[in-house]
Amino acid sequence: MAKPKIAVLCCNYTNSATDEDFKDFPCEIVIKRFPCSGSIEIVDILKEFEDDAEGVLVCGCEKEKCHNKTGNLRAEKRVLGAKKYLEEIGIDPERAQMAFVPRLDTGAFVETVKDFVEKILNKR
Amino acid sequence: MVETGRSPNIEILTLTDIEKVEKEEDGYRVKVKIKPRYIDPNKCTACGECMKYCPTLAIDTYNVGLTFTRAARIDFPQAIPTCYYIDEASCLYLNHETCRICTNVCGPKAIDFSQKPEIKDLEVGAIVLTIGFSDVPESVLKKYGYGKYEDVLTSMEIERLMCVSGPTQGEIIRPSDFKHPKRIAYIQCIGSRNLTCDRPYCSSVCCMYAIKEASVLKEHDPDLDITLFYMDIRTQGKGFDAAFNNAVKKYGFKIIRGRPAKVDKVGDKLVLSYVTEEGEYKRDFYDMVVLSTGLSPPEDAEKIAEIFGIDLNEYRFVATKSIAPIQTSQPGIYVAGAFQGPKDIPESVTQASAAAAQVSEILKEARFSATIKKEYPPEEKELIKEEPRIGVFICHCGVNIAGVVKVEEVRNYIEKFPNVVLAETVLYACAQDFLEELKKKIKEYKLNRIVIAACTPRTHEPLFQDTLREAGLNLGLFEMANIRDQCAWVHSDNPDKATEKAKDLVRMALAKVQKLEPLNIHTVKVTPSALVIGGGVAGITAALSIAEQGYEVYLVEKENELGGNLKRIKYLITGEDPKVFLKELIEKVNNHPKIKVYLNTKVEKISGYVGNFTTVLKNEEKEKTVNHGVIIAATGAKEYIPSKYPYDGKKVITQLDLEKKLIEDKSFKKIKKVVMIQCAGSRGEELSYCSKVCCQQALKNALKIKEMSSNTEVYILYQDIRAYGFYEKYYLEARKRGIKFIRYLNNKRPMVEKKGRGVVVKVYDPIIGEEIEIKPDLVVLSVGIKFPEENEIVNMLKLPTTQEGFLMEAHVKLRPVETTSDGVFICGLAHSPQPLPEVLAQVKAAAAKACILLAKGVVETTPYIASINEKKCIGCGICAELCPFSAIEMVKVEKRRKAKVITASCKGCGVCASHCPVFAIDVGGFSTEAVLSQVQAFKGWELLENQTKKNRNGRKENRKLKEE
Repeated sequence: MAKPKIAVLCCNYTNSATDEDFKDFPCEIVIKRFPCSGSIEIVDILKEFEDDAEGVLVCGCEKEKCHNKTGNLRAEKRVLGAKKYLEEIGIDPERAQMAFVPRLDTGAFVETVKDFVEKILNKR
Repeated sequence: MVETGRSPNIEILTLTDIEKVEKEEDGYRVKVKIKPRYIDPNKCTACGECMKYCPTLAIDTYNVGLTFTRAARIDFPQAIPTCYYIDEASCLYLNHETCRICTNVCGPKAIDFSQKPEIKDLEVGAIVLTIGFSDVPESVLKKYGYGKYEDVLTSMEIERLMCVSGPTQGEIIRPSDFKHPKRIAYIQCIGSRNLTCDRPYCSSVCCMYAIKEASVLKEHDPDLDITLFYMDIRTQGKGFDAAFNNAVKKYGFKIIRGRPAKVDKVGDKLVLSYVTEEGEYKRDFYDMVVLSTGLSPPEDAEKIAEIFGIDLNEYRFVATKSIAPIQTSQPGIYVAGAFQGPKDIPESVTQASAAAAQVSEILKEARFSATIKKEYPPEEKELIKEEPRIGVFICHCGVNIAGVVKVEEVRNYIEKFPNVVLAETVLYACAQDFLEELKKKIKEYKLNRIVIAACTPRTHEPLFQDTLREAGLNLGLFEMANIRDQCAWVHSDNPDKATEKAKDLVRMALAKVQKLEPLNIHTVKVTPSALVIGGGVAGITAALSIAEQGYEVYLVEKENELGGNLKRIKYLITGEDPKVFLKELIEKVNNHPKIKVYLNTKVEKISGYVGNFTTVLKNEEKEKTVNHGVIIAATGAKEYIPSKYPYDGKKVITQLDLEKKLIEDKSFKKIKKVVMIQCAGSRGEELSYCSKVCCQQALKNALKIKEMSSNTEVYILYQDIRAYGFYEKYYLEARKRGIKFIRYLNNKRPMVEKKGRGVVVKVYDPIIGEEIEIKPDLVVLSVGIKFPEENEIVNMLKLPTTQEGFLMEAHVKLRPVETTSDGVFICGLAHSPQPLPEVLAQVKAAAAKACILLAKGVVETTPYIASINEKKCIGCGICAELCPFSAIEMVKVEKRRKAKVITASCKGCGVCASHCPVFAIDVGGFSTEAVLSQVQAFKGWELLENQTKKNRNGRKENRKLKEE
């Protein structure tokens, strides 16, 4: 069986993780970087589910640390929006989540992804 | 260490605390508390039985907590005193009054639990503090994941891991999973150059030890990938730069300039995130991270300072002055080593010798008043001449030897050989009671040759030889067979073969000892005066120190004035006035009754050897011959003006020129922009090495400019700012004062061009990645120091020089001011480029070493020296040419050239004996005859007997033939 796929949509400045960081994870991690988490649209999140992702994690900078002031807050609202759509079509809304991580601290980012992956895999 | 342990004039108090120090009229009264060791050092033979049976585990602090040891232990086999001790904190008996296994297993009954702390009062004339440094506290290391991740190690831990006698026998493993690491990162400046942990100074040694450790690691495992993270590469010592570059080239280390912010763990790997010099953010994975920890002051520095009444500096090290680097604020108390400031081994050794010189100066009146000199009874000449009467003693060494080798069997075997009068086994041959017995046995059985089959002659031969001398036997009539290391230890799995080998070894020793001749310890008288060549600050201080210690000094200077390079230095970075200092020194030298100063004088010829040099001094009018016992070469060096820069002395000048200008030229305030170029001509341009002083010199002058006119812009173009030790403070201050530092790459050096009346400096800045053009009013070159190419002293004394051209010391770490020629010492800039405080310490060290010879009055040679059979010698001169110590001279004996050994200089290396084409040279204790019969005995005794008979017969026949 192929590894389950988890998508991470994130602000470019949250991390500089490489494949090696996720080498030991029991699933495939796809990272898509955006200039700011504020530019992540609801469609982007839903698109990942269309591409067989089992869960989507959106990562923005910590609150009040966003370089563009409110980008991360926007992202949070869009995740809520995406959750509503997921509920409508019968997918567990918990499969999409928002996380706030410190800027440029890859260690913390990797930890957050790890937690999320555990949660998703427990749902199976 | 061994030498210290053996000297009758050094009392070593271990496990001792200083309680109180009281100042008295002519010295100090020191109250010490000696903590109990629970093992009597006079009885302990260091067999190790107590440790073997001790049931209590204790953390091994010697191996920085990486492994376990026992409560009864010795930290390392070479420890002095070579005696086990019982750790109070973990011993079962001392804590719970049970166990006492060790008392029962100890053969010599050395364990004594009744010992109590002892308070002792010592009367001393002077005190030298060599307390050393402590490690960086764990709270500082925590930031880098130390303690959190097992694979983050300190450099000390790695050092123990690499060591063959360490916890893993030299195998490099990750503590987390015991696997071999493949990628290792070194992070420099942990606990140094860091304001956040109160350690703003540079620890000076970490750059060099990191590269050393990395090289050793690479030798262990050539596939290792090692990255070193540096801030500045501070390898400023003598020959260090070359060593660093060679290591990087040879082992392919990755050098990254940057300081990783933190250490993370992902999976089983450690992740470092850092920003490169180009501004790129990177993350790399490593199997192991090593923190290059700096040197911290002792943890209880304040307490020590209070007890001794000395001042500490702002970093909690001992406060000293640049012009008196080892003098504390209390007269009669001196400091040496890392407690004075972070420093490496050569510098610590130098400072220690310097402290000895200081002590010798103030205690010269009392010299020899309390020394113990060993007296021996006269040798029994008659006994020695008789047929060999050999005593063989085979040591059990507890179970160390007897556990493997069947000693009784060896004894029975050896007893039957001819000339063996006595063959015995002993429990511990090195124990004091046996040594007394040995003396009695020599008398009783009239023994004149002794064989001891025990451990290694390297550690124990002097002890046995001493006993022989006490019994009136010559020390040359003795041989050891090493049946511990070579039989019991290496063949511990095969007792039968080990016993066979032991028999072989003892038989061979027996064969050799029969042929041995008595050896003489030669003594050569020393003329109690010194010649100091060079009248710079080094020469002056050396002359003063020797004269203060009570000996005549001839100080020779080729120029018409004393002072040397220090004359050109107008102020010091630490604030003292060098002019006043120098003036005082010169006055003292000129008025000292024991110093004769020769200005405008050259050394014409030097002849003789240690203790008896004769030198011809020549000035314009006349020649003078002086006799002296030692030579101190402080010939100095000169600033080197590189050819690549348009140096004119006006717009483009050197740092020394600038110093003069700053003090004398009033118009200096008009200058608005100054560019200083570091390493001008050095570090691979024209001179290959780093001159050590230029970085602090530039900082000193830059700060002076800012002090005089704060509007003047100062740029310093550098490769690495080598503001090591406490000089880091001035680097920080310079940065704060707005002095602009621009780094340049070694292969893209700054270009200085003259355009019209002005000067243009072009330099490539690797941080912005572009070339910068500066149009300064003044360009200051920080030029290096070069040893003069033409130096007649070097040729006269046959002194070896380093690749860089400076004079070479006998041993970089252990003998930093001695040369391979005995009685010749080097110091100052002629030794290596170094700043004033280091020169002053080194000079005192040289003076101390010179005065050892002068104070003793005689040079004692080792008994193992070469002797030449004049009849056989054909005068070819091969030996004289090959001798690495110039200890053989060719003389005319009855119109024929013959080789002659200068006994005072011979070290007994045997190079001459092995090369002599006619076998005319024998080395004491290793005569051709003795060694040959030893080798023949290896094949079997019969062969040896036959050979001897044949020889004897052959000789008889020869004689007959001749007679006929």
